[in-house]
Amino acid sequence: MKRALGLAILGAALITAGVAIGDTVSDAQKSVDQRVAAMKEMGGKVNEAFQLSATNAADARTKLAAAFAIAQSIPSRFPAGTADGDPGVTTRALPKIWSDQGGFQKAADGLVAALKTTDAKLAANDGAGADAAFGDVRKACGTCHETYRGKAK
Amino acid sequence: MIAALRWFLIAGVVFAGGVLVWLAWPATGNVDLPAGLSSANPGMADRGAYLVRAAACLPCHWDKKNGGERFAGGRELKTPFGTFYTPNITPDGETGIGKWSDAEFVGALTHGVGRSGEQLYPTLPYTSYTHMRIEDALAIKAYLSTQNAVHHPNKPHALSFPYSWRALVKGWKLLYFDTPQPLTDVPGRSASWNRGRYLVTAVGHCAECHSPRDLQGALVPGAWLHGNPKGPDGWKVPALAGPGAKEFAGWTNAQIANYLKSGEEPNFDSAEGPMAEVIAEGMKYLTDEDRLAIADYLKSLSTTPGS
Ligand code: HEC
Ligand code: HEC
Ligand code: HEC
Repeated sequence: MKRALGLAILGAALITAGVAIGDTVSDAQKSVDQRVAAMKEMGGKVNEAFQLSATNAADARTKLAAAFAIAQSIPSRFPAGTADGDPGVTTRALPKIWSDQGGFQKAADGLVAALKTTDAKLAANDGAGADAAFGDVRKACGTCHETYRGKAK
Repeated sequence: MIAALRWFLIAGVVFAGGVLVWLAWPATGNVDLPAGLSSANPGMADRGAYLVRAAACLPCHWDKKNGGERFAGGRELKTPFGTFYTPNITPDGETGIGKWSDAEFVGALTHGVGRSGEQLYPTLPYTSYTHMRIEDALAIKAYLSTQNAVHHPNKPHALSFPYSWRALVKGWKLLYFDTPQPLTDVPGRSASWNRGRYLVTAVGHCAECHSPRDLQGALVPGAWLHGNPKGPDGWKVPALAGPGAKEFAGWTNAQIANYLKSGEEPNFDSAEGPMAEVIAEGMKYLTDEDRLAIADYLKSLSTTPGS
């Protein structure tokens, strides 16, 4: 009886542990999935802002503000354990993000700054300036991706 | 019983021997070129300059990363079958293709047969180039012959057994390679659509990367342009048609054409990896008209989920 109870407890503990491990794994992947979705949403908002910029600067700025909020959140979206090569995650995030946090932060700041400039140009109704600023935003995305994002998978 | 088995074995050995001889037999007969067509004809080199870009020959035949010369080959291409090193296709007589005849060149590009009748591996995407018009293939040769002759001996491929056995390609071709046939226009479709279809299918060889492959390295039937989770260099290649092309289906013709020109995706991301090379050494140099033709054709393919 005692033995059976012991086994049952042991079994339950193992199952719980299994579930717990399963959960951590899916948490890491969840966080990856969420940041990929956020990246896509950010890009979508910038594109909408870009499309609107020629005709409606005010609406364009609203879209840009949404992108801005996501851009500011980028560094917080890369918790430990979510790098390419970590167990149980499929991600393009390179380990360099964690070994070179200063550089990663700087790349994120670069995007934030480019978005701010774009907003200022829109606010000033400077069409040509805004076009150039949108180009710089795209470059800021690329600068980070080149160093900190790996192959598509 | 034993006797039957013995006969069976002998028949098997004879059959296998026959297969070996068949495999090792050099490909016969050169390509017959239509009269009057020659890479030496006026204007061919200019026409070829454009087509070489549309066909993205350079990214493969240039070891850019290690400071190699243009078209002198030596680029490493890693595949599940081993590592290929691209050959020198500059006009150097000794190490390049300077001494090749028109027919030999067309034979390599559209039939996958080398200068001495040996089988070429389909890593040279002749499975697509086979749909090229002969005059276009000759124009490419004309252009290549105007390039610097670079003395650079070919590096042998490092393939795993049995793929290292070149003759085996003959069997592969029997299964997966149709008789070479240049693409002809589909009546009732616009000139732009037909041009796009030709650029995508024959010249641009888009499907070689954008379609899934089976264990033999052949394109999976019925999944043309359906994306490839294991593309060149380990890149995932997105679907341009079929159920996986949901995101791509949202791109407008103008957005597709602009991507092929600049690498700019509508969502402000940019083309990277193998596609960035296809754009930088190829698509970027096409006319707007041709890029829109490609868009025209791609948009006509089924991108409906489940179809
Ligand atoms: C500070 C670095 C950084 C900046 C700036 C940045 N990204 Fe990213 N982005 C990443 C990383 C890292 C990933 C990979 C995330 C993963 O797979 O876990 C990524 C992923 C993406 C993806 C998903 C790609 C896929 O494989 O599906 C898109 C789309 C994207 N980013 C768009 C953008 C756009 C548009 C911008 C600029 C407006 C931008 N990013 C700015 C670091 C950055
Ligand atoms: C995807 C990479 C790739 C592309 C694109 C490509 N090639 Fe090649 N090519 C190869 C490889 C690999 C070989 C070697 C095949 C073999 O050894 O069987 C080759 C072989 C050849 C040969 C035979 C050379 C010899 O010495 O036997 C010629 C000619 C050639 N390519 C011309 C071209 C031209 C012209 C283009 C563009 C229209 C082109 N290739 C595009 C990879 C490529
Ligand atoms: C050498 C392999 C290769 C060839 C050849 C190639 N592609 Fe690509 N293509 C890719 C890869 C890899 C990507 C993904 C790039 C990235 O992640 O930034 C891609 C992306 C694309 C995209 C973006 C789709 C999306 O949903 O993001 C389009 C459009 C495209 N290719 C069109 C073409 C066309 C048209 C051709 C032929 C003219 C072609 N490609 C030939 C490898 C290739």
